[in-house]
Amino acid sequence: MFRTDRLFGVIPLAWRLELTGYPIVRQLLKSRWMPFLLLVFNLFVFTVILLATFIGGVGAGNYNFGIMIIWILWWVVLMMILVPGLARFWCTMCPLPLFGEWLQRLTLVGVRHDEKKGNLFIGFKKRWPKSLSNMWVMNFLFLGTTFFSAFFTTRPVGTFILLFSIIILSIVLSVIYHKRTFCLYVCPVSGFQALYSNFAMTEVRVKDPTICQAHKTKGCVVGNASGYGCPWLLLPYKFTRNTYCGMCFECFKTCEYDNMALNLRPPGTDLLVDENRHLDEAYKAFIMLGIAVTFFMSMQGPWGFLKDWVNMATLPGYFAFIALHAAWCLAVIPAIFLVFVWWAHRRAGPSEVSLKKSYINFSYTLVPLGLAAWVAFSWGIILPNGSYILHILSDPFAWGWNLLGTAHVPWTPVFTGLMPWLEIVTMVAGLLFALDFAYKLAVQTYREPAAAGRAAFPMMLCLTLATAGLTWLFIG
Amino acid sequence: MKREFASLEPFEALHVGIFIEERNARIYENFAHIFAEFRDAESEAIACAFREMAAEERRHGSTLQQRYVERFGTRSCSLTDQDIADLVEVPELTDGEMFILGRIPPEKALEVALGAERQARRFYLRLTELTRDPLLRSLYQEFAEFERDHEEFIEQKLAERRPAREGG
Amino acid sequence: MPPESNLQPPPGRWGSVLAWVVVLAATVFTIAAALLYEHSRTAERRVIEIRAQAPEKGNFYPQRIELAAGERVRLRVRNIDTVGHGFALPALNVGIAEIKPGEVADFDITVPDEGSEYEFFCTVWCSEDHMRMRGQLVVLPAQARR
Repeated sequence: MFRTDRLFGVIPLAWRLELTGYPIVRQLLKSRWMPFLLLVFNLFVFTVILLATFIGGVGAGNYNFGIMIIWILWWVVLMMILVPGLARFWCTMCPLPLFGEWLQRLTLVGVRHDEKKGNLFIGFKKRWPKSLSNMWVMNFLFLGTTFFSAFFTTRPVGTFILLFSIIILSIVLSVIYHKRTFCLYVCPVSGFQALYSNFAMTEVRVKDPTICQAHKTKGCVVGNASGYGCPWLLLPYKFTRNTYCGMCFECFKTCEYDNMALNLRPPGTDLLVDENRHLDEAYKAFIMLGIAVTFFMSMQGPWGFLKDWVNMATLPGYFAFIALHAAWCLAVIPAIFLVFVWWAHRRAGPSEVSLKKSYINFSYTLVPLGLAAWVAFSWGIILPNGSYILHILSDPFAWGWNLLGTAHVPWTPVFTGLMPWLEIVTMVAGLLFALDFAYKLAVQTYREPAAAGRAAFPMMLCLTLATAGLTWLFIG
Repeated sequence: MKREFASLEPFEALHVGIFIEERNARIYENFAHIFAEFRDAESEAIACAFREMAAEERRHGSTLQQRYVERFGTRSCSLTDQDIADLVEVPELTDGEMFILGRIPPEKALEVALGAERQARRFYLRLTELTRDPLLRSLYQEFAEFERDHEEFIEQKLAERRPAREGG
Repeated sequence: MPPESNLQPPPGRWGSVLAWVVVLAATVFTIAAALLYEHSRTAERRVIEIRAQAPEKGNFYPQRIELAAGERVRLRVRNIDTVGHGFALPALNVGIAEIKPGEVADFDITVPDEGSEYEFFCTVWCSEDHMRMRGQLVVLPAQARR
């Protein structure tokens, strides 16, 4: 019926443009200065952020460097550009786990390697419990941080506490556990990047699997004198999804055959990779969608009582917010989605596929939709508030500086008249992707095209209704 | 619901006067800043004029505040000019509009300032008619005179610009 | 056999030194530079920070400032509120029409040798209790200077 190997029936999902086919790109990724220099630049920015938020005290959040850079600039760039375009490229340059990793390696940019013992690390190097080797910890941690969203995002000291806690936690876990365990299974930011990077237009994969099959020493896994074995505890030669690849590019440095590639590809390719799909990722999709709705309603919506609840104006109100928000993300959305999946499953007819399998498979349609919801939410952050950034670049610590001459640039909403249209276009784009992948996932789940077609209808209806609801929420 | 002049209590009338002076000071300060950013001789002259007017409005506001505290203590009041009937609203460019417009025409800024001054003068003249307290009446009369001076100054600046525009 | 020429050696000793320099510059030197720059801006004068909020949220803090006669200080008024506030200290001829939320305004003053108390107040209508938003600068004898 419809080509399931082509995006919108037109763009081959197998299309790739190897960016490392350009020698300068490959040389860049093989150098140990990449991503070290990117990391150090962000370390500089985070140093300023921590200083500004620490001494910013209880000052108005708008004109605080930390609040602006993290919750306005970084969050928007992450959702609008980095994740959909470059997968987990933020993880490439994230400075939060840097101290932990340097402590493990006892070197900043070099490689400590012994011919017999391999790469050298300090610490206990324990393995993370297998039962927790999934997204559940990140799901609940991320949801938990949103309970304090008003405190973290509007009080400079709140942002300081959040970032400092993450840094300390990453150091502690780096001492106890092996390599980037913190990033893989604990970091609150990691979870949604992991899921949404399946939609991204970039990937790290092997060029020729047959080379890896014949190659015994697997430098990408065990490391060598040129680099470390995959810090993300993965097998680079078997990458099939972006989910847990932190794009650190160590495998480019350690592969003796230059067999790793950084590819440009059509968006959503990994949504059809039926491997290691479990309920944790489905719940990550539900939680992200739920948080987008709650955040919009409380931060950009007209309901003052919600703002009061989130701002802890009263304890009963605050507890009501936590209870309703958690129930919304963990129970209501999953339940509504289950109803539609059940309907789809019935329409598909007799099948060996379990309802649980269908539920998990179809949850990946919420990846493009959820990402679109976050991009739409981000328009509402950057367009009204982006002009504050000019001020804080000149006066990062609110000490009356004017480094770049922009300290007195007034607050200027930009193109806010266009905002509803941008949000509509964003949601429609997300819906189109979601509908396309809904059909493809239906075919993948039920195999037989007629059954897949019958099953796809309820899911498409669900996605369309969700989009309509989100769009109504955004544009009022 | 808007209030009539005659219904204002003395502290309310004085409070609105304070609000008007402080608002005008803010408007002129903003204009001075905007025009100073253009960095040409004419704009700098206009910025200088607005700065002086802002300083004078600030002094007026301070004087009125001191009178208020002397007479009425720190009594709360929520009335502003928008609560008074038949006081023409002063069109105020927002900071954002001023920034986006970039080079705002000096005439536009002067017209806004003129509107603000006329509103203030009209307010003081009405209060002069209605206030029984001799000290306050004398103060309102004095301030009405100040606002007239400002009005004349701005009208003169506008008139100077009109021939230049028509000639160009 | 794998073509080992594909592997690049890691940076040597000088590379490690450079890495340390860059990291220190990004962290320790950045903090030091910020603090030193601010110190150089305020070296001659003690900075007295006054936080401004609407009266019902905290008013000026501190509301009462005691300074020695003749002392040269910088009053830094920081608006930590979500609405605009102003500042005027008419006796010393300082003031500003508006300090926007989050912004600061600095005033360099020399405390007079005479007089006992000078009042400062907000000059932007910020709430119903706008008239309560005021404080006092109290002049102490010159021997009280820090």
